[in-house]
Amino acid sequence: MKDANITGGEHRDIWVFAEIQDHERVLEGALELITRGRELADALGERLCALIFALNAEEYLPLIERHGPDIIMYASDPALKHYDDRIIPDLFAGLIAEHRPSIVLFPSTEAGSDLAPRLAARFGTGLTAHCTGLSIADHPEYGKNLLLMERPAYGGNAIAAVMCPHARPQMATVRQGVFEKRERTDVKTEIVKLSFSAPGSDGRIESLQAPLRRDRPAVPLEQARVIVAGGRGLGSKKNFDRLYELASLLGGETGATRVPVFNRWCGEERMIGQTGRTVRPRLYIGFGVSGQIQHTASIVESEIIVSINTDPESPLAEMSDYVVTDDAAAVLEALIARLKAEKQS
Amino acid sequence: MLSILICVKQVPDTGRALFDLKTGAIDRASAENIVNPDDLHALETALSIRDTVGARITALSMGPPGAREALYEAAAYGADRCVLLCDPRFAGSDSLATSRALAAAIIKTGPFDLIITGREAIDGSTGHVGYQLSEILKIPLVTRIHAYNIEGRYITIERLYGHEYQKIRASLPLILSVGREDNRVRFLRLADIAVSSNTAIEELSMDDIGGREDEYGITGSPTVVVDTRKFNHTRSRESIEGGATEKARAIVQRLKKHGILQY
Amino acid sequence: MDLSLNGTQLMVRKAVRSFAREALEEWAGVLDRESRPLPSELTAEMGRINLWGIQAPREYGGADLDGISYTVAIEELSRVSAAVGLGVTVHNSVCLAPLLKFGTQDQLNRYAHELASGKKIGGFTVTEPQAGSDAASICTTAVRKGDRYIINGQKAFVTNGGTGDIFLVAATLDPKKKARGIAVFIMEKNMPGFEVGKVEDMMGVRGNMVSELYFNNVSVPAENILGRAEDGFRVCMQALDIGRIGIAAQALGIGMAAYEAAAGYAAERRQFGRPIGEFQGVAFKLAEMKTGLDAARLLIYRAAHLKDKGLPYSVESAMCKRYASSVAMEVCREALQVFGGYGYVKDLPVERYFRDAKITEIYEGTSEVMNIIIGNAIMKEFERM
Repeated sequence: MKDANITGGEHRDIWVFAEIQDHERVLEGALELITRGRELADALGERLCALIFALNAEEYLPLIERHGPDIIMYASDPALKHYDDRIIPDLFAGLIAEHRPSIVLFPSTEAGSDLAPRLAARFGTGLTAHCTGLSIADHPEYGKNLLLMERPAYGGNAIAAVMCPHARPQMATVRQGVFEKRERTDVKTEIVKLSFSAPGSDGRIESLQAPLRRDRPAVPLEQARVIVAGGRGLGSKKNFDRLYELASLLGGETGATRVPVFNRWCGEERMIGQTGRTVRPRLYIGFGVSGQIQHTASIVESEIIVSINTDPESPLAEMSDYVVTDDAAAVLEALIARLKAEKQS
Repeated sequence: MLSILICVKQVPDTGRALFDLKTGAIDRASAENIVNPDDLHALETALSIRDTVGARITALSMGPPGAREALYEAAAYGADRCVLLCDPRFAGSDSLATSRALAAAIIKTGPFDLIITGREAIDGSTGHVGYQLSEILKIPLVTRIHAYNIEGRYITIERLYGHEYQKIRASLPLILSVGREDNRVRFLRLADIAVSSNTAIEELSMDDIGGREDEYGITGSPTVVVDTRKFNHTRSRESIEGGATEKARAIVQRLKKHGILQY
Repeated sequence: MDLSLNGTQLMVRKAVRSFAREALEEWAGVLDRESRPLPSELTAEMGRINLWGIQAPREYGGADLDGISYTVAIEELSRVSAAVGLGVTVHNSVCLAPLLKFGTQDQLNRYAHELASGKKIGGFTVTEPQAGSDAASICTTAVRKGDRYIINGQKAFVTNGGTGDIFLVAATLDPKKKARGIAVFIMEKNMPGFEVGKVEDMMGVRGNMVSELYFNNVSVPAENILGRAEDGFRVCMQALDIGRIGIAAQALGIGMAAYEAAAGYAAERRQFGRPIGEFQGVAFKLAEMKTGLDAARLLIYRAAHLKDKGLPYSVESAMCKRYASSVAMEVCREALQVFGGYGYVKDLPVERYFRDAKITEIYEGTSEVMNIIIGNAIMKEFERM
């Protein structure tokens, strides 16, 4: 087994994989990562480079440029319309070998989670998955200016801080929504178009038909972007059923604690807090949820937590960004009304 | 007959374990060890392939001697052959060192037509191993399999990709990565449990799989955990006041600020 | 001496627990509310995973597990649904087990596979409207006619009565001989004259179709007598020794469900600014529950262990049933108290556990009958000294 580990020479610069989502827009998480990458690059006194591989990649350049990379490298080709694991890893690996970045960051999306571990294996370097924090730090043993990567561990009960002391590049996939995106006007961006020609297939995998758009299925809770969850405090199945309307207004899914499931207000597939079922939506709203440990341990990784119940001291309120002390059913109705009104206006 | 390898990992049941209040580390004594849930889904895929076209299933686990329990369970589900990759020098492996060791063991015990892994383990939650096996073994990987059909040396697969689906035809060998939404794991037959404890488990050490010691274990792991602390569950706890209507308006306004509502 | 479960027993626990949680849990409340049996697909799936033949040899489609694994399986089923736990334990321990122990090769060929695979569900019946603890006073008669027996009479409170297919039925060949006149017959529901009477509307275990059975000139071949004709009473008593371990495991499962619900609730429910479990009034209740349940489990394992080793276990079986059923009742009572008003309403399953627990002090011999058995053994021991 030979690793293409780059040991000789200095590694410089921070790279961000600027993913294009559904071949039609720049992924929010990519802009967030460019924003954070900018700050890290400034701390190191190095350059920030964003990489785009897409069909009609030029379309996305201005938006990415506004978020302050020093360099944008892009390739534009019909073969790059979808993320393809037979093309992008080779292309990306070639660029790493040539330019020797010190840090490479990926959004922890489906594509990022495919690309990053492949590159880490090729270069024999470390990768930290689903990070929620990135900073530059010194370590008494490992030296100065290392990337400190923080990620949830032990089912979300702990945060582990991870470094990659020797191998390069240092790599991380980063949870979406943990950094804010911000535009920068003070950086002059150099734009580099990469020459690219699609490689021929090795015949091991062939497409039988072009990818088809499908209706979004009922998303498993683990993948939901927004979760509205109900607990005992909703009081009745009638109130619980109103969650579905709110979930649909927010583009999310409905979850539950143990009590609604016990009471048959909903099926067990909606229960959060079973073995292995951890949800990490951007938004979690708990209606009448007090927050038993099994439940809270499974939602702590949510980006924003809102609790709506009558007890401001409840464990869920303790861990919430926003605390509403009120009757859950009443606020649920008010929220539905408000969102409907906004959608119409 | 196809030859299938599945990877199984023994993990603490993080969903039910207790945690140290200071460090957030798992209290191992309180945690029951289970087979990693996604790996059971991988096993289920292997079993249903065997049910339709016939296959011999090898279960491979890397872990301490106690991981034999996970292999007995795999045997109870129907694995024909069990291999435990066990050596104190593997301790402390990160995802890359783990992938290297598993790849070397797969080469040693193979060849296989299909390698099936769970999407991710509930203890590490990296989801790296499938992809890294694909890189190291130079075998293509397919994820999120919606439907499949095996015809000789080819599999046609309908797979989900983002919000799209794709129909592909892949030649063997192939790696599949399977998660909990991909199938429903059958229930264990008690009769199979009773005989699984007699299953012979082949043991492999680091020397058996070859390679250099610095590729595995702590020395072979590029990443280092420098600190672990209890996740601070306390957040800003901004209290939202007023009547129900004002509260609703205030919540909606906060959601917009966070970019969750986009209109 | 090793008091921990071995690898097989642990895996049995894991397997039955996950089946109970994933497949049975959604039905537990429904069976109770509607007093209806499990859907037949689930009964069939339970057959596939060998729950209807837990200790039966593999040649009959069973799992050939030991007695401790058996109690573990019954505990796990009963934790989720006491009614399902009941159906399974009665089928296994007082129908299939006596058949396997006393049955002729011909009887085994005809019935063992059908029962162990769950294609047929079994029951066992001694009790009659006028004959309960005094089993020797039964009135159901069996009269020899050529190579057949004609059975007449009525049985009461027959577990699996409404859904079962094959029953071990105690009948008297000669009422004057009392216990010595009793024979046990293997009877099939489709035998002419065999009728299922009223299905009882019960306080608990409502998912089991406990019913009356009527026999009106049912003609049973003589080769359907289980064991020797004059051995019927002994067959019954041995069946009950096995059966009591299963009922004790059922009681333990019900108690565990109530205890876990109460402990979870005590950690979650906050009053006066902290979880109610932090108040001694509640914590002590939980401590008593846990201690009692653990003690019951050890008594159950011991009885099963003695049985596995082929040693006498009749008294130990009575003791584990006597104790586990009381603990279950006590735990459910206290669990309901921990839940307060929420425990008393039907939204939560705690009141169901409470109702289910009570029967374990009654069937397979009441607690008082258990004490008679235990007391007799004590006197036998000390009078000899």
